[in-house]
Amino acid sequence: MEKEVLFKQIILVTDGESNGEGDPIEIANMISEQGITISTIGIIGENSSQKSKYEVEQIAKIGRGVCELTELSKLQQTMQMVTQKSIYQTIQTAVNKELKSIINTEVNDLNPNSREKIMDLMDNLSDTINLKCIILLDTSKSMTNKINIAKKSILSLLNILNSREGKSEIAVIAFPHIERENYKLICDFTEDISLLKESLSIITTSGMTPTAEALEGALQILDGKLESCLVL
Amino acid sequence: MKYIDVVKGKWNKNIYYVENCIGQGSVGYVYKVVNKRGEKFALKSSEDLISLTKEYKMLNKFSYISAIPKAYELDDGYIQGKNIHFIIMEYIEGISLKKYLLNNISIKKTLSIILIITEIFQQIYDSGYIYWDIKLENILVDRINMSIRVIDFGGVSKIGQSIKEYTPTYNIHCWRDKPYYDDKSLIFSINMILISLLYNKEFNPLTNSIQDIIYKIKTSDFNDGIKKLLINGLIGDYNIEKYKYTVKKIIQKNMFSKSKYCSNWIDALYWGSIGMFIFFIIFTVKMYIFK
Repeated sequence: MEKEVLFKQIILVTDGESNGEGDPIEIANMISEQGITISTIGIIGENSSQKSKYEVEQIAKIGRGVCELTELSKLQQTMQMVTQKSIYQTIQTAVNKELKSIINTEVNDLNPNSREKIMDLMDNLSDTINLKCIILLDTSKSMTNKINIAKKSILSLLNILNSREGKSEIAVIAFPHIERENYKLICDFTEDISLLKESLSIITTSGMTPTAEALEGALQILDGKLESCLVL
Repeated sequence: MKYIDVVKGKWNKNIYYVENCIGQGSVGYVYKVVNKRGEKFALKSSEDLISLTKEYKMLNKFSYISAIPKAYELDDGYIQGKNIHFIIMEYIEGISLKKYLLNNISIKKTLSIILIITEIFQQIYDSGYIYWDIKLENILVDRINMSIRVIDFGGVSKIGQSIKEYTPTYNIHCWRDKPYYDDKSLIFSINMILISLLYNKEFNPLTNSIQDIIYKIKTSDFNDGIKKLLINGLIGDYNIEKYKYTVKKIIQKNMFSKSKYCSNWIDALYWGSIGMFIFFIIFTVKMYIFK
């Protein structure tokens, strides 16, 4: 059976601090050890606390991903930029690790002429690897006026990601969920934009922000999907 | 002259004195710098090595297009407290089309600019690449040399490869659900530039839909030919050749605004008949009175 090169990523989109029971940083650590990258997007406004900013930065740091703080109007671009950056970052880290073990140097230490071919390779890799991306979307009460823009941003993200040569699939988990559950899988991994659109339309906002529990849920869902895959 | 920083290239050992920051993008910053001989350059810095290397490659690949700034070197260095990679490029004295949103340039001039821009991006497309990050800030009017320059080559990908950098207002995928990975999306972006210039406003896909823009076009004062061009461009109807042809036709026929009285021969016939009828009435009345 052919092994596929797969990049697994969780993007946490939230506008505030977690106030569920678990510790998101602890869970993030667990997830990162499984080879899954966590990137975070913090939607900031005038009322954003230092603590909430710190939390998203930490989660991304532990998750070996990228953290971006953005205003709501730039959410669309930020989602795509975060995905792109974290793919590049992960590839660069993997390549550097190999280079170090072979010729005891990293890409940055090579002069621009020597590293040109390696850069080309990394760029091509970023385009051809298959991508499974879970968007963990905050649907707590404070997201009420932001949720429509978040939905549109996720849709256009899939459109843009589909321009890649490799397969790009998006799944969406909303947290919390209205029926007292901490999270719910709104849409399973798909490349199909109309399916994604339909699934997103049922999302509503209310409740608190159980980030840790949602991260755990994402891990369980990702875990069940992947046998015989080379993990990047 | 007080400089805010000095950059020394790690590999080529060239020294550049940083005057000020002239721009900021998603990958990094652009500075105005001078070398030891006082020659001006633009320095684009980034921590993202893959993106910057690709951009340098694209600038060199398309250096035969005069609209593109010359790229001189790619090096590593240290600026404003960070280890970065940088490109040294030609410094262009010009203002971006974004500033033109505040001026009122004639429709004819606007369409001519659009034609020039289309031809630039067509050259890139014909080589097998797409410039995805079309936006007002990336198109400069170089007033000294009377030319249009296109900057920021971080968003150029091979046709069939992923979109790396883009701007929602000008990207068809932020407005429509279907994928467009060919020249139709290029034309959509160029057409959107035309719409921004004509209506002095950039539409946001998060708060508007294509229908909103179409409504605004339909109820505006422009000539029908222009309206048709704008609407068809929005629907993703044009390839490069067809768009160029339509724009040229509009310029040649001077079809710029709605004429108040007589925009075509039907109107001429209409008003002519009314005129004749009135003349007939007056004539008949005169006959009666002076009988």
